Amino acid sequence: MAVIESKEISKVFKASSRGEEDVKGLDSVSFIVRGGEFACLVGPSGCGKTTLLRIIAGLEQPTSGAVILDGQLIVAPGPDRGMVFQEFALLPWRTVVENIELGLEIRGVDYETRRKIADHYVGLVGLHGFENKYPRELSGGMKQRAAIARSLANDPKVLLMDEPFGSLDAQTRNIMQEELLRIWSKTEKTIVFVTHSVDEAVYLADRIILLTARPASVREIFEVRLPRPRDRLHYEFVNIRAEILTALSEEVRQKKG
Amino acid sequence: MKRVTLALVTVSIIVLSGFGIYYYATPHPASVRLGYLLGDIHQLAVPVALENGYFAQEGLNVSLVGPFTAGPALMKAFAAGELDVGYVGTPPALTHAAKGVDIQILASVNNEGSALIVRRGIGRIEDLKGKSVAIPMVGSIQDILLRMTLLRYGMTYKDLSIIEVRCPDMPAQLEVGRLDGYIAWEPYCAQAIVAGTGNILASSSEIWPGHPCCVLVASRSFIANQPSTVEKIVRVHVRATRFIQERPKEAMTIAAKFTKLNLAVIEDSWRRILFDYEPKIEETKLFAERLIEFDVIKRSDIPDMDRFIRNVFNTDFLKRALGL
Amino acid sequence: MRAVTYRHLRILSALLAVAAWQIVGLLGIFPRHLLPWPTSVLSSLVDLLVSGELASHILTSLLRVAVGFFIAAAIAVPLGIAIGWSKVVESLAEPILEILRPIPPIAWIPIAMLWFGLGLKPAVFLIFIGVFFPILLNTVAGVRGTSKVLVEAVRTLGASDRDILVKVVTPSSIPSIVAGLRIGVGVGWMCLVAAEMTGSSSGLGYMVIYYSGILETSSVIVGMLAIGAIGYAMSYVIERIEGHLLRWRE
Repeated sequence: MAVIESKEISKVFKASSRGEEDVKGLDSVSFIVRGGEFACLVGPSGCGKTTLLRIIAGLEQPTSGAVILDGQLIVAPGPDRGMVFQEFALLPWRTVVENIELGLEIRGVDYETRRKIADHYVGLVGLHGFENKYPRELSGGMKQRAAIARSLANDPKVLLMDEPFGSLDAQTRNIMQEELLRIWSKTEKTIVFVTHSVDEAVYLADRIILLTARPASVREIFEVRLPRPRDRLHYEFVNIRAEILTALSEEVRQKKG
Repeated sequence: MKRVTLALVTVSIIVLSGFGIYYYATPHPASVRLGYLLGDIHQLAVPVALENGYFAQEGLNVSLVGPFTAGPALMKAFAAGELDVGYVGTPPALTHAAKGVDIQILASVNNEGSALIVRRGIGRIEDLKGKSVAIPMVGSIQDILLRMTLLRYGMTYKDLSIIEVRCPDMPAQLEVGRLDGYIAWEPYCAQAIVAGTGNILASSSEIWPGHPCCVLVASRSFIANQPSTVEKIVRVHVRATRFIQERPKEAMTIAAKFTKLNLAVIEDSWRRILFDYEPKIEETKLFAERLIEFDVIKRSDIPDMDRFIRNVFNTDFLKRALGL
Repeated sequence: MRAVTYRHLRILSALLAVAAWQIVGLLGIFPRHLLPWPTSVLSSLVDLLVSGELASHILTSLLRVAVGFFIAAAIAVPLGIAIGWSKVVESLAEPILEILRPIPPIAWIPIAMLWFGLGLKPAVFLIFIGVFFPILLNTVAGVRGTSKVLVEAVRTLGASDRDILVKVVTPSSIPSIVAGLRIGVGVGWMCLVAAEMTGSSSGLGYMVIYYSGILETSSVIVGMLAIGAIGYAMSYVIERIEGHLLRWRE
């Protein structure tokens, strides 16, 4: 089971011109995500949640500190950490199934095999019948399902998701949250999920890592032990949500002040 | 400050444009616009007349327009109303007259005077197949002479690569091997011969002995509006032509000065040119027929050949100048 | 009134223009060698078609443009991808290209004739020059415009640099490249007259120059219209191909 350890990750953004100061984005962020866990990163806008996720993905390098996955140091992107983006990032000139099998194609898997695998994931994310459509023919929710299938088809250890439902309307968003949980239960991957929405975090996650305002460090880690599917009106749900929201608004106020 | 700058710039532009428009719009008083061809010593009458002051003596203010790179270009200037008189080859004059450019031929300027020059290694017309040959311009007399020569050997322009080049550039192009041959007006034929870089493959006298070449033309409107000026122009032309006929040595000197080539070249070319002002009407008619054969002029452009020839010539002024 | 559609208006406008042209001619406002009548132009068109001359010139010109075009595309597309992808290549190539690019094809005529002589070769070279830069610039823009998110997404699938170049950058650039090809064909075709001033004895550009020399203005106009019509047709064909190839576009 994949264990992600973030060890004192710091990130300094260098000033782009003279007279500007270096900006410290992340300040010694440390946390652990246990294997098979669904973890959410939550924090004030612009605190660096996405930067942190990208460092775990290997798309950016920390200024100091390290990310360790199953004992291995992360230095670059790789198929062991799949990533799902808010903009979906599907290749528009490829059909759904061609997008999904892309990772397998890169790894040299032969046509027959990768089609079979891709078809399996098409079914898993509920896109049966849409395999040969182009992304422009899909709705936002369907595109994101395809993106998730694409990452999963590569059989990564970890699935990193950067506000994946941020560009969907509220109804689709709720549907996709349930779909994600369904898919997750079938695949048992470790997930690190970045979101603005505390409600979404409490609905989805086992563990919620709340970051401070910039420069971000870990303010608090919340464990959510409610059984799924969760009831948004259940008092425990409401309590945890309130707790996190309070802490979050303090952070937001501090940033403003 | 910015608004002031903008205002100044705008005013300057308007003022300058105004000057420009005024300059171009006002006709310049009393000068005769005379067109001529580049370095063409068939038209030696013009530099001779200038050098000896004949125009001034007739009280004429002549404004030289050109030099044009070939006859058809000069005729285009007539078509655009930019010339009053011109020294130009017979074929372009006929072609443009047939298509509606209103000019008349006042006198002859010269006969013969062109040659097809080739580099070493080409001995016969047939050898020109697939080669590059330059002409001054499509529609020029050299163009027509070349077609006539090729026709005799069953060839057309499809068998060669024809390119338009300015006559003064032709000898150099031949020398460096960019051309295999060219047909030009003198002295650019003599230039290659004297330099030893080219030989005559066919000269005017071999292609069509005594053929008319350059003529003096004027626009009909100019003739109608300023007949006395036209008479003076023709008188100057006769005088200059006689000078060339009677005092060749001095004429050659003027030619050398005019073309910036040395005397040896001029002397060599002299033998191939016949300077004369007498119009060759029958031969001109023949030329028109050949132009129709070559599809340069359409048969429908000249429904009545005799009438056309009669109208295109206006020898009254010549007769008066000769005191006839 | 519903029967009068925009299409009718267009046809009407074209017919009116031709009629006005003929009337101006009949009134004799301009001499016929400056502005021939539509009927003369039509008559010249028929002559040129019947004699096969027009067809032959069209074929020759098309061939020339095709050769120049394909050579230019074969060089410009790979070069463009290389320049867009590699800063090293960009730094090496850019100074020379930036100086050459603004030089219009016509200005290349003397050098083209010096280097390649007369006839077909300098003409093809001039067309090549005209076609090359639009294709190159559009290709580079296509590569540079590759969505960063797409590249990152594919990197997280385990792609190498080569994978990115082949599977993301190149397909992503195809719309730009095709646009460049389309523009290139247009420019190449427009260079025709200039290109055929280098000693060609055939082709539509040559035909225009030839007939203007002997003041056959109606044939000149036929030539001009032919050049315009074929240019339009080529553009149309390429757009249709583009539309089909890129049917995945939003």
